Amino acid sequence: MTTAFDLAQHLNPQTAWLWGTLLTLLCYVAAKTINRRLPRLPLVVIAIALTISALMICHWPYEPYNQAVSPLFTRLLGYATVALAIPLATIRFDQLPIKRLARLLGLATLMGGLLPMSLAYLFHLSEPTILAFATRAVTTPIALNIAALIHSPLTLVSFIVILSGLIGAALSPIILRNINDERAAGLAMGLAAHAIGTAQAWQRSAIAGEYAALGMAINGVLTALWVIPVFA
Amino acid sequence: MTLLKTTEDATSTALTAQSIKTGTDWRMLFVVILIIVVIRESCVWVMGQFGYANLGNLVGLFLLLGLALAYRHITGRIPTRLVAANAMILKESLFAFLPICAGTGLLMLHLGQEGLRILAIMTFCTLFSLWLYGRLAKRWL
Repeated sequence: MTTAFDLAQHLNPQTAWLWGTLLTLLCYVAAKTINRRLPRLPLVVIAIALTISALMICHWPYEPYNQAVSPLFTRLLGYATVALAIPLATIRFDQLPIKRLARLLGLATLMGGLLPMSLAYLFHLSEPTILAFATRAVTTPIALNIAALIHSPLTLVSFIVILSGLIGAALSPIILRNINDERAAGLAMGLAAHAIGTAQAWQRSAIAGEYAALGMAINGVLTALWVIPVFA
Repeated sequence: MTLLKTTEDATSTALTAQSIKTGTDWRMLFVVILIIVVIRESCVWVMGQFGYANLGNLVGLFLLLGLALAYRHITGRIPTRLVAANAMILKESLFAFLPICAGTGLLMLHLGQEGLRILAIMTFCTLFSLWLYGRLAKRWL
């Protein structure tokens, strides 16, 4: 019987990225098909479940899979980040109540860091873990740079950032079910669940996506501006 | 004037949504991808020269934002075809997050005692923030 370890060894390192990408693409396309039939189930949840299942079926451990696809997907994440500029540029700020928007953004940046840090302190978690929560609501590239400057553990920071994005994106249809303003729903998703929330907001609607991008970008910059001087 | 702007925005959004649902503007999609790739790769390279290659994506975001705002300032609006093609890319951007999300999902299955407390804090903070921001944004925007 072929074990997981054996199979990982038999994969050609030069073509492993291709198989990994094809497997991920297949899972994503299948998730989209399922999501069309079950729109209440978030696409991100279906896609993750299918990817994990596919890796288990193929006896492909996560580490070598991630190692194989990481160079390509890191690039894709970069392109997705840059692509957010266009919806940001189309937003008409002259139609927005700037003062109230600024108040909301100010609240979000402070609460995004201070609320989880306070809870971590109350739960008697270690100091590096408490610091790692400072960037919970910030998109990964900014979070990792802040983490390096405030000396918080990078692995834990990326875990916290990605998982909180995942939780926000997966449960947003339930939490925001009574929010019928797409701008409000999008902004909330971008502020609370950064890039993964923004990607999920685009599944909801184009307007939600635009406002999620706005929330994510501004929250990232604002958080960097106060977290670094306070904790560095 | 405000009504005119609102109508213009609504038309633009409707067109974007329609483009996503119906045909694919392959030529514009190629142009947008080319713009994004060139800007991102250039920014990563430039930032790499300063030792901050991982900030390249964000610098790329702000560079493209500056260029798009300048274009909008000069011509009055960003072409709907470009916005629609870009929206299509963003709609499918969830794909790029899949491997990293799958890893986090797997890691969640193997959490220790401190890990469970971290998970509880994250779940509460994320969902409470989402709920609060949603309600405040609905009232304030």
